[in-house]
Amino acid sequence: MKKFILKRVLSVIPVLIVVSVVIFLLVHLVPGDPAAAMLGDMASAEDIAALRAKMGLDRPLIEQYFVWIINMFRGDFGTSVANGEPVLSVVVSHLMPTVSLALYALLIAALIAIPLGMAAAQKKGTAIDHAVTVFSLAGVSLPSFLLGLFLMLLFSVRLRLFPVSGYTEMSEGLGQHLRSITLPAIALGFMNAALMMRMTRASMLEVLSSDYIKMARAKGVKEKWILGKHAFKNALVTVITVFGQSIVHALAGAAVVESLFAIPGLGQLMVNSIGRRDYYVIQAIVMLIAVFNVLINMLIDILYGVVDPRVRIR
Amino acid sequence: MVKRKALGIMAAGIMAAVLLVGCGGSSQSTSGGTEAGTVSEDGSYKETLRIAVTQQSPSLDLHKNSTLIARQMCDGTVWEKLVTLNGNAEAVPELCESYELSEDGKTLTFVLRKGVKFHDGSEMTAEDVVASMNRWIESFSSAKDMVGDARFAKVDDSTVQITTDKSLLLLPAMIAGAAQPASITTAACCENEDDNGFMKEYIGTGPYKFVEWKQDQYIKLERFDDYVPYGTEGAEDDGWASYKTAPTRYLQFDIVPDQATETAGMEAGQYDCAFNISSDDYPRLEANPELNVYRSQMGSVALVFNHKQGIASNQYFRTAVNAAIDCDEIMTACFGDGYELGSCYMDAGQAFWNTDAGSELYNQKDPEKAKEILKEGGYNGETFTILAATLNGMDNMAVALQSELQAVGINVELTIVDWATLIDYRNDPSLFDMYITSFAEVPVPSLKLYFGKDYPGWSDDEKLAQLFGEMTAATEMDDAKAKWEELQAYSWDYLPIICPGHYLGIFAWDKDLEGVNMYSGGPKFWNAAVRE
Repeated sequence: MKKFILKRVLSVIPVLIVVSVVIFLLVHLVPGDPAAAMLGDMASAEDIAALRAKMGLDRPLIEQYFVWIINMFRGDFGTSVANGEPVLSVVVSHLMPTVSLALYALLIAALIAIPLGMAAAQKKGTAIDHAVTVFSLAGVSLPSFLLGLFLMLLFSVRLRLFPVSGYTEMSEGLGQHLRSITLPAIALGFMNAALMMRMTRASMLEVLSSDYIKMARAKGVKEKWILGKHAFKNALVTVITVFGQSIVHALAGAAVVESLFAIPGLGQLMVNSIGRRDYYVIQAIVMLIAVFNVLINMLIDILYGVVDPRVRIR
Repeated sequence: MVKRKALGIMAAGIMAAVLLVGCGGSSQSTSGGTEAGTVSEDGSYKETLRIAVTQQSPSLDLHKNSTLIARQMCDGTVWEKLVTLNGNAEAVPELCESYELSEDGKTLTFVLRKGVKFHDGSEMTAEDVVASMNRWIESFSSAKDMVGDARFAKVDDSTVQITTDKSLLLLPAMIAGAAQPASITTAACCENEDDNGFMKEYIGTGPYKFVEWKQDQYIKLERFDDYVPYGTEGAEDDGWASYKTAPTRYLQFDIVPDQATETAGMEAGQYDCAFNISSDDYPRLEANPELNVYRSQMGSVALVFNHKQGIASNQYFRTAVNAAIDCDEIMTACFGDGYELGSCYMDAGQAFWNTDAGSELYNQKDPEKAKEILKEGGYNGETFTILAATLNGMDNMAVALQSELQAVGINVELTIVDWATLIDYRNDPSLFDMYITSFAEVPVPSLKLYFGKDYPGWSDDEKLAQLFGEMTAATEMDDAKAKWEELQAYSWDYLPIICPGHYLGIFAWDKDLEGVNMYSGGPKFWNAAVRE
């Protein structure tokens, strides 16, 4: 098992090197100038050139890349052009709302998807199954901003149960915190719920049609034991994969929902940073998401090995 | 059966949890934890005024930052200047008692008000004013162009002065209302800059002091208790010249990037005021009896020609384009009905400078005339590239423009990019023949950057430069105005740009909000309060 984990960890390093080069080139080759974006429309060419020099943007690209990488290993991710603060503190301050939102969205998604997916598989071809299929199709098709707007108009404008927008930190009380992110979490979680539901259903159907389940039924094992203990555990491998992907998807895809509900998370920071060509912030966020993606996949690989010993042998 | 019941219970549980979370807590306070809804000492006004804005600025250092939103939040509220604009767009004293321009127009002297306090408790001195004014000149290219190498100097403890070899007639209005305001701060603040060269601290003299900026969430200002108002108590505002009382304890500007969310926030009562409302939402909000909706001219659109190279560097071609354009159509494509037509480059707020000189060449919408000019000029199907950004519907304007110009036989190509790319691309004359941009209101025509030969578009015409020089060299306002009229008339002939019209900003606020100053550039809140 140790050898298996070590192999997975080592395989991550070249991936991250390639990712860093691609991110850096993409960000720097896109037209647009952070100095010009920062100084505004009235700034003179001399002022823009002076600020570019101050930011080190007049140096060769390759030098800028290595400065970035070396500084990153020292814990210095650069300075944001937006407010002159260290990028690390900017990213960290925007990380918590996104993590909170993504976890809440996934909790909602899992609470809806797993029981409904299991029920649909068990009652294949019945009205419940059809209802779940329609629900999941709607979830996949409905854009999160549209669902978000609908929720906002219903629960905030009409019923006045939730704030229209804004974010309350957890330090100001869990109730207020959850209240500020409930509607965005539902908007974000709905699509993930749909995906998770489809995968749970498909995976459960496959397992339920296998010989050992038939054998268990023939032996008279109770249906709830078959579902909960024998079938669900084996269907779990697929569900874990989808769950892992959903975490990354929720983190990376929160931009639209964050923007709509004015949640100051990574997604909104990313969108704003692209607009003002805040190179260091963009690089840090994309790098963070890439590292997270790689780590989640690595973790899933390792979990496969734990759940299914055949994976380790392969 | 049991399973179905379990599903029902689960669904009901989730719904109940959501509603429970929703019912918990007040329906007022969210971001920042401010206590909206609590009352001020006299028990009749809200303690916090919440204003939704769709953008945020890189900095609140107005010397170096020309973004409109930073000015809307802080100019006159946190920062004050030596002079401000009255209702006729004239410079009148704010932090000075008086000012005087010498007879030859080359020396400008300000006598400072005594006892003005900064937000850090220190008293304003001539050294602070000199440091602030000189930092502003260094940071603002239009001011630098006007004064050259001259800088402000202290004459005595309450007098500062600047002397140049050119006329400074238009400098007071520039100080009072430029896009990069000449805010007065402490000499120490002028020196204390961050890595990007912006001030680290925002210490002004205004009725509100800066308290907190949570990136992407809100900017919070608090009443400055040591503020000493100037002017006559109880007098009505005259432009921005106002007896400021700061009746609300906190002003909180909430960053709400989506216009639909802003509108919903106004309808739900979460915000007391919202900036930059979408023109699509205007009828809905106007019909709401709880709200006031206000539209005002915020600036003008400019279709800037490339005079350096390409087909638009030919006078005949620019004339043909101007003859073909239907300004109503292209402004509608961009702003819906949120615009006003007008040939003057200056906006309605600058009444002194308004003129209809050259208007006979504005909004001709005469395709036949355009075709004739193109034929006579020898146009041979050369590509005409229009550069536009996906900002505020400018790309829609480009599409409408393309359609009008193709109808007269011009081979039009569009380059649609984001705003950051546009301000990069427009520096390269090989990438466009025309680009679309907009300019916020300015107090004097000398701040119209497109008259300069270094501004992207590169208008380089002897007569244009001569008229512009004569206007800025005038020592009497009436002479300057006469030269401006000549310059405006000539501009519609030479065409450094085409100004198809003026765009309106849409603002909404609660019916219970009083005391908003709407003189120019959006609402100002130094005397605003929301009745409970």
